[in-house]
Amino acid sequence: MKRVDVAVIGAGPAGIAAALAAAGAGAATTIIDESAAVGGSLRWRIASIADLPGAFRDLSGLPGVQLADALAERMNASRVDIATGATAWGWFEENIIGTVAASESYELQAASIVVASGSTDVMTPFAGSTLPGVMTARAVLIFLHQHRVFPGRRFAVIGSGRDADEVAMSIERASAAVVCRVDGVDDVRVSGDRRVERIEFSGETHTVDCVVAAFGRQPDAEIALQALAENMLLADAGGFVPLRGPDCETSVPRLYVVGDAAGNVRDAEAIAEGHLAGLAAAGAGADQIQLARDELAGLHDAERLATVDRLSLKVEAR
Amino acid sequence: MAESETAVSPPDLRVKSHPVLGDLPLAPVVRITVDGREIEARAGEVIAAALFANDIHIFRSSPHSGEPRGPFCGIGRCPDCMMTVDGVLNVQTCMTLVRDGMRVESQQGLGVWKGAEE
Repeated sequence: MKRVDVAVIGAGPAGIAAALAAAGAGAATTIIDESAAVGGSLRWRIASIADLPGAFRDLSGLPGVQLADALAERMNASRVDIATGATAWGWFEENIIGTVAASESYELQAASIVVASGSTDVMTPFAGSTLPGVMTARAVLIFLHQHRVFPGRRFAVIGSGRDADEVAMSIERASAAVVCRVDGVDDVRVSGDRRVERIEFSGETHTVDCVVAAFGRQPDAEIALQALAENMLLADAGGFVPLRGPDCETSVPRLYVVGDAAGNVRDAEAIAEGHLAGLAAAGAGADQIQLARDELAGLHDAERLATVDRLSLKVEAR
Repeated sequence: MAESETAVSPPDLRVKSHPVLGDLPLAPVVRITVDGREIEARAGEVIAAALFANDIHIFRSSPHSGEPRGPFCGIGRCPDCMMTVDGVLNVQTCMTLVRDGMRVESQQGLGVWKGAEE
């Protein structure tokens, strides 16, 4: 069995920050990601990623794909052991992670685990939502930017908020048309002969060939939930969110959750959380950890602070 | 596999140029068959991307109602893009890379095993 000091699950912005922090603090660190390349969600985003904290400040403002490349360079220059094309599929007692890569399964035991497994897209059914041509916002971004192919040319975007705005912007940047946008699914009806041909809502009918479901993201902290980390169902986060102490540690000692896996955050916060948890997981000095805590706290807006407070694990009550 | 040529597909279906990503890099051509029809794909791309580039949008039918399905999540979580590839059922075409000579078939429901085929 492979043994390391710190195992990080997920190589998106939060996981990369955690792995770099842990390795920088001297811990033998492995990062696992199911994709062929590190970067996570940044790999399919062209939006500028703003206001990055700490050691990442100089990378602020890059489009997601370019930030992914820059972070990959830092990872390659570090002592982090990078396991791409590997899926962490299960948590077992004594912090053992069941991992599969190229159809071979192996066990990885870590003194500390940082779960940075991100999110999946929320789906809400509507009339015609199973027709070919109805896709999640994430799928559309992946086909446009990673696979470089148009899933359609005339798009309708359903949903509101940051993710809906970003996918609409991305479709237009790729020189395809956003024919219409609608906030909710209430009176939406999508129809066509075996694939999407039109969308109707509020008495309007539009000819489209792709309908984008942009209903936001739900946390995917499956590994932490398997470890029975205390959690709560948070409707506005779209799912079960692990409770965490000040260093993003869960109720399971030495098991940390950071980034979108603990509820939607901006990339800057995901990175600050990863950095903090990476230091804590590696047993870095108290002053270094305090600095990272302060940096993270400085990024919380009022709305986020309320959520953080609601989800804060009362460590003394363990 | 011809190293020098790029995949030829209806030009409007590939994102050939992009203000942030730049021009689509050249890639060797890979030939696969979809329901017996040969199409061209780019080496290193997933099956679903090659099908979209060739204007194919219906990948399978659902097991109960028989309704058409096509790629939905794009990240290997949902079953909507699953097809039969080289005789293997339920292959996630949004995650599986094309290979020269690959035989891809639309899948009806859960599909039918035809025995081991190489």
